[in-house]
Amino acid sequence: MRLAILVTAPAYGSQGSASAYMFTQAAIEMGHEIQGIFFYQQGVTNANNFTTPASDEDDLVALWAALAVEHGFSLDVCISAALRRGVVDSVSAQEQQLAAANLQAPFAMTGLGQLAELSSRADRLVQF
Amino acid sequence: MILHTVKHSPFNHKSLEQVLPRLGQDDYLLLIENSVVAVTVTHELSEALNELALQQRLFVLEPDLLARGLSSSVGNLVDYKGFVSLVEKTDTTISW
Amino acid sequence: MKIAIINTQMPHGMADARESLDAALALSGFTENLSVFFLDDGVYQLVENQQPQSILQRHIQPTFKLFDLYDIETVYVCEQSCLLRGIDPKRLCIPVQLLQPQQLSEKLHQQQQIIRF
Repeated sequence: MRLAILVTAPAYGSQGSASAYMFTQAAIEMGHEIQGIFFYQQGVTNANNFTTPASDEDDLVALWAALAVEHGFSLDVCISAALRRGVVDSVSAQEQQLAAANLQAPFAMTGLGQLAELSSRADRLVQF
Repeated sequence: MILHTVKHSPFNHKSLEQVLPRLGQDDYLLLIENSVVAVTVTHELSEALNELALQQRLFVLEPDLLARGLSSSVGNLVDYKGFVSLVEKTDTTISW
Repeated sequence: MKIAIINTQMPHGMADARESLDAALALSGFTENLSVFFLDDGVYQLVENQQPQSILQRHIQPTFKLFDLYDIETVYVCEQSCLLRGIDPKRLCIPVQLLQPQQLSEKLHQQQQIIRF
């Protein structure tokens, strides 16, 4: 099964992103194909590498990045939702003359069209 | 055939109550996150949930129960792989 | 691909209505089969005469009127959700198809992918 996952829950504050991560991990272990993860609404905070959890807590920003690198799927972030919430890539940081960029690699800024693209390649879309 | 996932506690939020009458005849209901409390005590939605359980259409994400120190005898307990299988078995998923 | 967007939240108190609308307009460019549903508190998004600028919120309602332009032709509203909230389902800001509970369930079952806000 080809899966697209939509994450609208934040990296910290509710369980949704952790649920999505556990689900994705299970799907991979079962041999399913992850077309990509799309982060929208509060979900864009999963791409913020300024997120600094306490040392004894799980770091979902890092966990997502590692899982994507290991298994070669994309982490797509809706740019308009991200900029509104202070998640910024280097191009936008320069354009807006911001002090720094904070987009964690390999998360990539995309538009909502990418959600349509992922959905069209997937047998199922699951939202968290 | 739809897999409906609910994540909010029915004691705090109406999503479970709103979803129940929208279930189609073959649809599955999966309780995740805070909604797992719905099968740990008898309340006004229990009758509908028991009926779904009898029809093998009610599923509960066990890690979310265990994480909260709770247990249930209603519904089929599944882990995350079971969750993935439910997504595969149904045509569509709605996250309420 | 038959895709549905389901709106279940009030406007203005949260950004869900705005971001759902952005998603609907974007997805409409990629699929000819996009349906938009308004259920539960989501029906409040279609109440006329909103003035959200006075509470520093964006006025999204004029954008609903662009649905036609974007070829979003199927807009479904749960009539029961309206009635429960004292909203006259015949006086919403755009033309919609009202659904009874059974019809709502049928329409949902025709979708291949569903995003809920």
